[in-house]
Amino acid sequence: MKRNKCGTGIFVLAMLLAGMVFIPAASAQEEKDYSVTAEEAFKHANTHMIFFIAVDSDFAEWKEASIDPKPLELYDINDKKLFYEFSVCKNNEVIGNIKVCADKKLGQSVQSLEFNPKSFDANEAIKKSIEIAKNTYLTGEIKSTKMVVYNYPDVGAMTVVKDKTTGNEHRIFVDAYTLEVIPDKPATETENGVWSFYEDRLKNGIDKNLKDWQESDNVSKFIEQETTEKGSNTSAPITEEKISALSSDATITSTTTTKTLNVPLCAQETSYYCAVASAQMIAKYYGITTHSQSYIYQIMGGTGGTLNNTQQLVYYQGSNGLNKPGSIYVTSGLTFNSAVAEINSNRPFKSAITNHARVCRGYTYTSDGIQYLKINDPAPVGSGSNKIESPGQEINRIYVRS
Amino acid sequence: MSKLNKEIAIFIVFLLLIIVFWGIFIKTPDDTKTSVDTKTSVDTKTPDDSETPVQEARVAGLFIEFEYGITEQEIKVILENYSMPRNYNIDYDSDIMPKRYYITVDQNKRKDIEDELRKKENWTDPVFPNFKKGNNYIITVTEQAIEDKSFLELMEKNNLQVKSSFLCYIHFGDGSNNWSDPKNWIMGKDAIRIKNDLETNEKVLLVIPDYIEG
Repeated sequence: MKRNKCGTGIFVLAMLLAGMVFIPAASAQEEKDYSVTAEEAFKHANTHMIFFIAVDSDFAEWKEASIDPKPLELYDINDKKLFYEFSVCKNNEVIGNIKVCADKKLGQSVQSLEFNPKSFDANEAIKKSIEIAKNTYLTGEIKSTKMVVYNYPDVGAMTVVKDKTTGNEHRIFVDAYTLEVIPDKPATETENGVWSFYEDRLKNGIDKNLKDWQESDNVSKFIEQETTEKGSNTSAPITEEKISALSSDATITSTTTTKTLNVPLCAQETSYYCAVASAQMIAKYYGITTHSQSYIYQIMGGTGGTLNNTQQLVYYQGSNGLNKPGSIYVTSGLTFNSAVAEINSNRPFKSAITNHARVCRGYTYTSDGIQYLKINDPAPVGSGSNKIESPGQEINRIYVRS
Repeated sequence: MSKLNKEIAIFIVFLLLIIVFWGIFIKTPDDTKTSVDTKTSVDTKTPDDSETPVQEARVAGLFIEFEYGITEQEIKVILENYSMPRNYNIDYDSDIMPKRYYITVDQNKRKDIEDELRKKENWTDPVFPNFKKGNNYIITVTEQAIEDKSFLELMEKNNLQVKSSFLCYIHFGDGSNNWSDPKNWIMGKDAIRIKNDLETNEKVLLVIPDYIEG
């Protein structure tokens, strides 16, 4: 009897040990499948570029362009690899960039396609972040330096330094455009800050994101097949002739719907004028060209800092503003279909991600489930950016209505 | 030691060996993928003492849509029962946004009514999703619909009544628009908690956080 008890105990112990081995193994296997290689990402960047050139006149300038196969790797502040950013080049000039997700859990493979992006010198940002790390922590040891998305879509360099005295690790962030030091804490009213795009994208689970990635992979494979059948390959520059062949391909064009409203891009004049510049873009769309950003800010009742949506509505609705009294603010029902309905009614709308206002001026979708919104982003300060972006990041909208 | 115990001991040693080999040969997911030539020098060691801030929104106030017919006194009582992290002012019957017209439809009749409403393009608006409230559904209808004779006939036929919501605005803090003062706003996660709590009240239709941007 005693021997049986001992045997049972040992058996239970053995099972526990076996569990210790196999449970982490299963988890590791599950994780492994979600990362995207640079080669896969390059293929997706090419096929999506071909697709947009074929179906969307916004991309007319991208004909004959090619993609630099060496991407800039952009990380999250928590060290996860987020995007491969590929430069789109034509006549030796960068005319755009394409961000491809480095992890299938982030959703649709191509996060955004941006026209004429403001350039930055990654090496300068890296150099400065290392320099600051060395000067701040004199006895510190530099552990790593990489380019990160510290406050989507803002990019910068992050250096991790270990203080040899205390053993603590510290992060130094430097913005890639301004070379300004960004505090390692969430943003406040008066200071920039950092947050994890990766964790934000995963907050609602990964199932839908994985499905979205798979759909974009299917489209990518389909475009690759069609391109090959027409005697081209996806990584070669796309000539006018080949695009004509793809554009007349009923299997591509019949499954795609796209619409763009002629909303001019206005760059925000200060770091907190995103809502103001967004309103200015919509005003210009409706033919009001005399409202300066400082005038709009004054109508919104700004007091030297950021604005809430009630203040923004005052401009959209007021007779001294845009005079659209039916304008409404919503935080639910932010679906792709409702965006399509609004654009089909020829009404651009304010589309905000957390802490940042932009304008939605169009859409593109396919019957396979690929969906993109066309965004006029007033950031960066002084230049703004024009992009095509996968949906799912908005937290509110203002529908501007009479 | 009996023969049985020897066998068990050998089995445990065998399992321990598996663990050791597992630790040596299993690679992390990042290691298994092809690395690319990046334009920056990259060291993949992770800072281990840093907490990762997640995106945090700030909320200046709350739009609260109440059921038709509610009184200011009832609103006061409802709000007093919820813990608000800041002092606030209430703007009753706010005109910040146009009125919402809605009908309350029994769950069983919902699909039929929705199908009927879809027959006319401008009776409903795709930007207002229908939502569940208790055992009923709230369907938003447009101003054009309530001026349409055939719409009103449909309402009468189904014994439905069009109502307008009562909109209030809760302004956190001292009533100023100074968002650099933390007493004038709350964190996004607190706003979502209050929204979820308030929306369980039968008199509350919707709570919309007023986000700060810039």
